[in-house]
Amino acid sequence: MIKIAPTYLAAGMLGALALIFGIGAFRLGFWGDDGPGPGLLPLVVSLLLVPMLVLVLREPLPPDETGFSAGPLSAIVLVLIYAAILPRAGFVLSTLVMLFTWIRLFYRQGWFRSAACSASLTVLGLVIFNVLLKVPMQLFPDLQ
Amino acid sequence: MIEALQKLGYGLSLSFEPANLLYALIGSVLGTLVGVLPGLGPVTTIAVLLPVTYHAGSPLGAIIMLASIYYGAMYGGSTTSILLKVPGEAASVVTCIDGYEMAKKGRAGPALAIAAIGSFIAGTLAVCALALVGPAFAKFAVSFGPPEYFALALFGLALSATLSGGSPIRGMCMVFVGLLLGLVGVDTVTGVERYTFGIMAISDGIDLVPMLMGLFGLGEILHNLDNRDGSSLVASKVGRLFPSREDWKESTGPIFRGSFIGFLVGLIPGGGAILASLISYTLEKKISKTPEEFGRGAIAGVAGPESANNSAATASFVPLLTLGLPGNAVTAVLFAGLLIQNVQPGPLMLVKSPDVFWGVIASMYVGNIMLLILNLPLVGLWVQLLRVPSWILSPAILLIAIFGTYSLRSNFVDVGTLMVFGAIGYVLRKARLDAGPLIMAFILANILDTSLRQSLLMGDGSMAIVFSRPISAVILAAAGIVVGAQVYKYFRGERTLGEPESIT
Repeated sequence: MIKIAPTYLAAGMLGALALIFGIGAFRLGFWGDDGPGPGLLPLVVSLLLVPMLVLVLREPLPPDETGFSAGPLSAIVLVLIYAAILPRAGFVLSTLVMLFTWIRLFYRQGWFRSAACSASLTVLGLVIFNVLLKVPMQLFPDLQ
Repeated sequence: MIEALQKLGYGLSLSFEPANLLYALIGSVLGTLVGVLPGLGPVTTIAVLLPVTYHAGSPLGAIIMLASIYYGAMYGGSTTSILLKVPGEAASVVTCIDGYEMAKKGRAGPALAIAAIGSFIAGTLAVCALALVGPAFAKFAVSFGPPEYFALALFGLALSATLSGGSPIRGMCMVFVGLLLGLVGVDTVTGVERYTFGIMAISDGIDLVPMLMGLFGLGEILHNLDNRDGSSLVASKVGRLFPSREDWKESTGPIFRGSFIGFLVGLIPGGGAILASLISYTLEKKISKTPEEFGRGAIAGVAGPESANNSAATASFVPLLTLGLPGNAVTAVLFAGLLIQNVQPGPLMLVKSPDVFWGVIASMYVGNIMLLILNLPLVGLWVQLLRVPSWILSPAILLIAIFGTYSLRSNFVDVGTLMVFGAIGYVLRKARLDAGPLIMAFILANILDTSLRQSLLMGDGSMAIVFSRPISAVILAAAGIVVGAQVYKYFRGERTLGEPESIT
């Protein structure tokens, strides 16, 4: 469990976004010889976003907004790792491992059930998308 | 009027071709299949299934499938509202009140049937009204210039921020974030790359579909992990399916009144469906001879709101198809679906591709018919689906989201985008920040940016042109009233802290 209020984390993320876009707007230029430039709207929007975030932070937090539980955070890490290894490992192995971990870790199912379910779902997904819908997919690891 | 109905007939003749009926069948089944799962409303369902429509043989087939998924998802949401008291979307909250009470009394069957039949009648009336109103709107909109589009985009953003539910300040935050993200990519006016940081994959902008699927689909899956228990949901007994004569008598009026209210309210961009179902419920309770029955399982409390909800959903296509402006999160997702098929909604759609325009309208009707003839007999199957344990459903939906995203362009970057926006969607959801306004602003960002700059050029650097043209001035005044009312409420201390009504 991470004890940071989601509102604070979200406000921090969005504040950083406003900062990046605001600074970038100066580089893009918000007014040129031809009139309004590509940085005009990003600058205006960034400047409007900051006071809104301040108002959000001033709102009292509801008592149930205590933090993030470990389950979804581990799931985020899992899917990000999956996305990172997918181009190298291919769909079969990476999906199988990811789904197995998902069922075993987050739903506390036994080894056999987790393996059977992840294998069935992976095969079914590949049959639908790769075989029936003819989506070109890299199935196995790229060893080159 | 006769011309409009003739063209609608032409659209229907295209939609009733066997291949298109097959797409309607597949869409309806898939839409209900995913939409019936608790926590997955129409936005999530359409977002998750969007890539599947890409593989339909023709643009019209894909659009028909999309419309069928939409109606299937809406019906799926009503099913969970009635059987489990779990609304799939904000608009179904009202259905929960009496629908669930009916289910507890063993009358889930008539409640589900009247929801489907009421939706079908409302959909039929709304499609006819859309066929009449749509072309008139489009003709009017052809004369719009950059100042009018700027004002319209601002109006749409103001409404989406304030009517999406929850705190309007949070809604506005999401609008601003959506605008910033929507500006990533090549600037259409100067050709300069904005905020791409040299990443080739986003030089044309962040792709809408993986972002949608991340924010709504994966975000929802992650959020559901907070409440997992691995067990199946015990569904109520459906009982006899078809309504009795007494049920019909009590439902006919609410269905027609709900259809009328729904269409009028649904034309307002921002949050038509929930407002329509609330107004319908309040009205039915007020004019009922037995108002004390409302909240205890009155069938009129299901028939009216469900009809209003469906009618409003159809009416929300008017601003989408005629102005190119999505009025709510669902139409924003459908907008993405149309873009995938190279169909650009807007005033010129009726002129440039009338077959698609009428095809879209007709496809909604086909989706409605398919829903009625397919879903009612299959109610038992949907109930069985609710008994499938979440440890199977959760990874299955995750798999559909991943493979579906990849299948759009066979691109691994899209899978990465899905995961990143899934994480963002989860954090936003936990922070009670509704992603609906973000998506709408994301779509409107380029319209707003281009029309703002073109207006400034037209006015020699002054925005006075927006105020001096009557249409843009009126729209801008309306936007000002919407924002002003919310600011006034906020500073009077009426801050909303509740959970945002989920539009997913």
